Amino acid sequence: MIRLEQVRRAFNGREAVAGVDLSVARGAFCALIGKSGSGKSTLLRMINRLVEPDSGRVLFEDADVRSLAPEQLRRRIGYVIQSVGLFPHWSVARNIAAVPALLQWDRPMIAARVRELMALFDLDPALAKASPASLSGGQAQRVGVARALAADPDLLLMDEPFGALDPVTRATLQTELLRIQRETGKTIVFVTHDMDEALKLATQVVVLERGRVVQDTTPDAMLANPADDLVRDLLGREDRGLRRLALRPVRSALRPGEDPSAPTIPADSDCRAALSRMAELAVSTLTVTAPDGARLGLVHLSDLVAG
Amino acid sequence: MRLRPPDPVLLPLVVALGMVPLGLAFVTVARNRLVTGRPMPLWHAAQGPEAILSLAGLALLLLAALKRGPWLAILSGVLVMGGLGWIAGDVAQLQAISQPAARVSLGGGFWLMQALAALCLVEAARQTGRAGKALATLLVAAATASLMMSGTLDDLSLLREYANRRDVLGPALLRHIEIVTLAVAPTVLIGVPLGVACYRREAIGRLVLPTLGVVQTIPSIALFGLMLAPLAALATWQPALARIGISGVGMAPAVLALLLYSLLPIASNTQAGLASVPDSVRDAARGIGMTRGQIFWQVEAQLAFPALLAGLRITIVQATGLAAVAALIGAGGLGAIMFDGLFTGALDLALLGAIPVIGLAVTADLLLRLVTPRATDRAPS
Repeated sequence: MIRLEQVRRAFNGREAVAGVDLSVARGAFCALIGKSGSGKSTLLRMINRLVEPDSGRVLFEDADVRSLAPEQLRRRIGYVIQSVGLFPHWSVARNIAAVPALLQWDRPMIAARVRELMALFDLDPALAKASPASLSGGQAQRVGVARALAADPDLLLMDEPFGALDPVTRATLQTELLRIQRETGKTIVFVTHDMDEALKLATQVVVLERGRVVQDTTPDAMLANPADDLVRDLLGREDRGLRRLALRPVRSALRPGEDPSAPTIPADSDCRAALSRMAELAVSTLTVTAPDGARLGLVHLSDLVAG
Repeated sequence: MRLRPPDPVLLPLVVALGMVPLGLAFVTVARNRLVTGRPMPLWHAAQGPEAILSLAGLALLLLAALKRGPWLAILSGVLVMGGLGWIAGDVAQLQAISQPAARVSLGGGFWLMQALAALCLVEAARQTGRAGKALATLLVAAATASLMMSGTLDDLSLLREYANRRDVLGPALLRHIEIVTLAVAPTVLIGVPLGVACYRREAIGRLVLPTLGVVQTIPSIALFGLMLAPLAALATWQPALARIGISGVGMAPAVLALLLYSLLPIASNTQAGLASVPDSVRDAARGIGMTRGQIFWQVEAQLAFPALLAGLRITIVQATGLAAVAALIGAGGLGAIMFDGLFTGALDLALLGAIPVIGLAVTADLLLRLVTPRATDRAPS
């Protein structure tokens, strides 16, 4: 879907992006992670030509982005930023309709799309006429993501979209985004400095440092084999094992059997939650239950630790 | 029922209103229009039913302030204002019978009492909301109209001056509006693009805005004077210009000076309005694929518009006032009447010129306030 070849970009003599090769497959959820000034936002903004590389090529669906008019390119790519940037003089509905309006869809089609997106993001239809100023932070960013998805782009670029939200709202929006990505199969490139967020959402994690790619792999592989000390620091030296457990569903450690004395754990939990529950209750066996209460089997401490 | 304390705004106003007649002359009576008059206190002036009316109004206003009755305050405030006007008119009528050349002018006491009563109305209207505002405006207009139409005020010096100058007041008013329009319309055409340029190119802004700021600090008479020489030279050099009315005195220098004064509020408000558009909004607009033109017309211009209108309001109000001074260089307008009165010592004539200037400025301000969308309650479309 996207391929970057040896892209470089300097600002005032300082290289923000210093020769990056990166490819993101269709349907991937790619997290760009790094400290402030690592070049992750610049890299993201090169994809929709908000920043032009000094050298190298950016390919979008095998076409060099420089061969496309920037405005046309951007209308095909969703764009979400941390500060949301809703148009304060437009209603929520008109904000969501911004890109379809630029693409000159006819009015009934735009209206139907706005209704559909408001439902998808769990926004009260009464908010359609509201002013962005009246929205909470979480609602505003829902509208921001809905606006980015309005013209049904295949690719979504997100620059720390949940960075300004409180932890509870952030977790809710992360789960919603994950659900929507699974349902629609969008390709997402996502900038964050929060490793938990990257591990929770991404299928591909790219660690950047001083404008270069340090490691580019799946969350599990990164946890198993961090490339260097920086990646180890980002992953957290002490709880790397726990984070890896968090990536595995408890179903993967399920074994048949029955133990009436073992406390229960829902089947959609992850292995870290199972370990935490064992530690909390001082047991080494849990009964895994389906949402309807049916007992599916057992999970043992030794299976969690064996991996 | 628990007793509420008296209204903290209305009560001091009413007390002050009651004390004004003790210190200031209500009207002044002069033998003719050019000599200084003798002060006449309110208690000498007040006679007949209008005195009772005013006193009753004042008492009710006091009651309204004590008992917190904003509606009563509106009614009684209008009663006081109308009653005082009636008293002044009657004094003038009485004087006119005995001494036809005598002039009765409104004194400091009259104006201060009217102002205090008006403040009471404003405060009471604020407490009652939209309906109270409408009622107060309506009642004041009705009282003023009935006093004027009945001829009660006709013998006041101000109205006598009006009767003498009736035929020049209308044209002067039109001329005044003409000067302001001729100055402000091109200012908008020049100032808005200038403001946009100041915003787009910081270097231009750093040069232009301080320069216009310096122009603002030049006293108006000095600026009018500065215009004299170059425009006179221009007219001599190109007689064609002189034929279309460009010369060192008259309209041309007045309009040009007002234009220079008006550029700063328009240009700087345009620039400030554009600068107030959040970067995140501009980034989002670019990121979703708006062209430069779309970003300017659909986002930046619309968000900067209220600031631009505020600048226009300041400009019109400022130009209306300054245009009065322009009479000194022969531009005409209401200022001509004002200075006529000032230079001959006929203060009521000066007032006759000044009141419409104030009226024009207030009307322009009100009209523009009505059309200015407020950032908070603007219905998004």
